[in-house]
Amino acid sequence: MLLLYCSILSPLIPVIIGYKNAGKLLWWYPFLGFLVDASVFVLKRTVGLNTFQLDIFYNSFLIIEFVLITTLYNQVVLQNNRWVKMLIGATVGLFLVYCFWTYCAFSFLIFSAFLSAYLLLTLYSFYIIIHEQKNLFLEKYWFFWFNVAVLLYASANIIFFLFIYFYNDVYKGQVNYVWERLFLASNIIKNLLLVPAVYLYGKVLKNIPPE
Amino acid sequence: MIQFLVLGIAAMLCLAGGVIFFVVLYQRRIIHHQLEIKRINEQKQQELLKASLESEERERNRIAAELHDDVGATLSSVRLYLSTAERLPQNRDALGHSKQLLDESIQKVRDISHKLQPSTLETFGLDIALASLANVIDRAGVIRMSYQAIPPLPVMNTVKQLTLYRIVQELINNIIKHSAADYVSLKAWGEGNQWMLGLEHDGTGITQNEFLIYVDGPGSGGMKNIANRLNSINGSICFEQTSEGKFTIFIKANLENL
Repeated sequence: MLLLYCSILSPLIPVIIGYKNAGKLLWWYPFLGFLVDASVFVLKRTVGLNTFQLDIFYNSFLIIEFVLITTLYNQVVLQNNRWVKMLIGATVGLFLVYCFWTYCAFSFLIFSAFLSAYLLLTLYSFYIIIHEQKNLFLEKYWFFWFNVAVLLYASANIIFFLFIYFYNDVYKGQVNYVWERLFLASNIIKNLLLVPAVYLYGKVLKNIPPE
Repeated sequence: MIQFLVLGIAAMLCLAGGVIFFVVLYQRRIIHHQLEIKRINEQKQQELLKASLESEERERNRIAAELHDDVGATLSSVRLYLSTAERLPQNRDALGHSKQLLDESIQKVRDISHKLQPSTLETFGLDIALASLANVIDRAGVIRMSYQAIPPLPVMNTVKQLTLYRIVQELINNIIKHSAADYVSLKAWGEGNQWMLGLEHDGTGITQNEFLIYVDGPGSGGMKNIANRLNSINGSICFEQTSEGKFTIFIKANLENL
């Protein structure tokens, strides 16, 4: 339970510390994460939520997370490519069609697909960071921290969600056990790594090496 | 099966950690490399500056020596012939006038030679050289100049003395050319391990901000020369305006690490 509470409250840390960047794109990510997790937690214990309602919450956050993350990557490493914007739009459209078709059933396969996209984006971003050398001091660069957060989050969960998709019925109890530890822990780590990202977001760096 | 799941997740996390570690390590190497390049560039610039200043001094020495040995000697020979011809009464007035002009030319050649390469500096030191410079400028009549040294003055090597001398020369030249001053005073004193020089004049001067603008901006070769020479001797300069409206220039030369 402690891990669950920490996971729900952990997005508040980057939200509060990065309050100067409130309203900006990156700030919305932890804020919405907190909003969804807290709402689900409260509603489950007060009015009670059925599977359909839970799936709506999770699918909503899933697609918003996808749009936020891919938009940020498009702005920083893909030079605001309009084809990428169209691809994001097409993915959102397809996802909405899927939701309509399956009564908004939450799909671990789709989540894994999104996580694999995040993985590719993070690896490409690290390559761009090393190759272009625009920012010498990585620890002061918000995008480095954001990239690390997404990479660790995606790499920790991609295999797990694929496993759930294929073997959930067989290993349900053990899956829940791993879920309660792995996913929540990775969520906490992701939000902690988002703290410097949100705090440093938008700051212009001077690339002068120290004396 | 769960064990494979856990192993798979651990492997993914290790890979991710490895990627992050590699990126951070690579970036540190880049920073180290950039710092090394910066250090080498600064070293090269210092060496170029030193070579440029040495070349300038060698050229001044050569010109001073030629002026003194060739032109000065020739003019002195002419004076001797004129003295011989003056013994005839009919040549006395014209020759007397010619001798006077010749004396002035010989003195001017000596002054130019002295300004280019102050022999007093090597023989008697900076204190005497500055006194001699003040004397020459005062005698020239363009501006009144005085010099005062407050002992004890710290001992300094010849290179540094010459650099300070050149800086003072350049500053005085600028005061004469641009400030419309009637009077300039030069003082020298020691503060611990530092040589201090103070120039004060009653003309139109510049402030420290204006000096920095001249040094950083285009042109202003003289100011850049002063700044370069100061850098080579680990010195500093400060331009100020007093409450009475006079302009002062303070030069500080640190005698350590040379």
